[in-house]
Amino acid sequence: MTSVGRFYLLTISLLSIGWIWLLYNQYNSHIAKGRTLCFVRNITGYPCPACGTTNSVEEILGGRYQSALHINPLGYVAIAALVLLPLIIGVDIISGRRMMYSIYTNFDNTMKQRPVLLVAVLLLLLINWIWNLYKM
Amino acid sequence: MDQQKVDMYIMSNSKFFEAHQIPMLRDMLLQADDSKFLALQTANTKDPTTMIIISLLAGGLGVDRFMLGETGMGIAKLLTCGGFGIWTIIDWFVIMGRTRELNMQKVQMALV
Repeated sequence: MTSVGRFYLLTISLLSIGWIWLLYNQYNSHIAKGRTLCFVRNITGYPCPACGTTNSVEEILGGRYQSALHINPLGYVAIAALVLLPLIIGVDIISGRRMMYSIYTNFDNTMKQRPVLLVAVLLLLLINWIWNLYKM
Repeated sequence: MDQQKVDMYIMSNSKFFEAHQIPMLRDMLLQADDSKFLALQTANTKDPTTMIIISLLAGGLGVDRFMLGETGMGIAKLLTCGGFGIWTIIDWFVIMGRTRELNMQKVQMALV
């Protein structure tokens, strides 16, 4: 499989797992509560920067935007990705273009060419992580 | 480059590349100019064994992908709790091959 094919397979798999995990949490909240797929949390007991995203997305879907922001602001990024990326992939599949792949390569190149931007993103995630640890 | 130099390089760096790439790499190096040797030495190739250790320890945070220079993938892995834990496991098996693949690309870039 070409690298583009592998990229699409990875993206589609991640989006499918994301949606399945979200729906599983929505409809089986009594079983899923407190469970996580996160390796860092399962092994160390401490949350990773993205821990709490599922709860945050559920709060957004429930209309409790303030609470979502408090649980993990990454929930907003996650819901945007879960809604927009399938649309872009759908357009790519229908039209045969590689819009999603070019967005990714542009993002990757920008991050490599402008280390300041990468450091800013990582710093924001670090602050979010520290906040996540503090909220424990 | 002369044959002795090329063979020395291949002997000391063979684990950095896929076995099926070695004959092609040898041909490329033999055809390359002597002045490329310094660029080859500083090509920033990564050790696949180091990468598997990093993947096992910090793969959940995407550190392995960041180290390979795949920044976009690293951020995606970091933002999804290591790809919901599943990508982390897949990477334990994939990362050594990916490292060797990228090492070959880096060497090809250095020889251009």
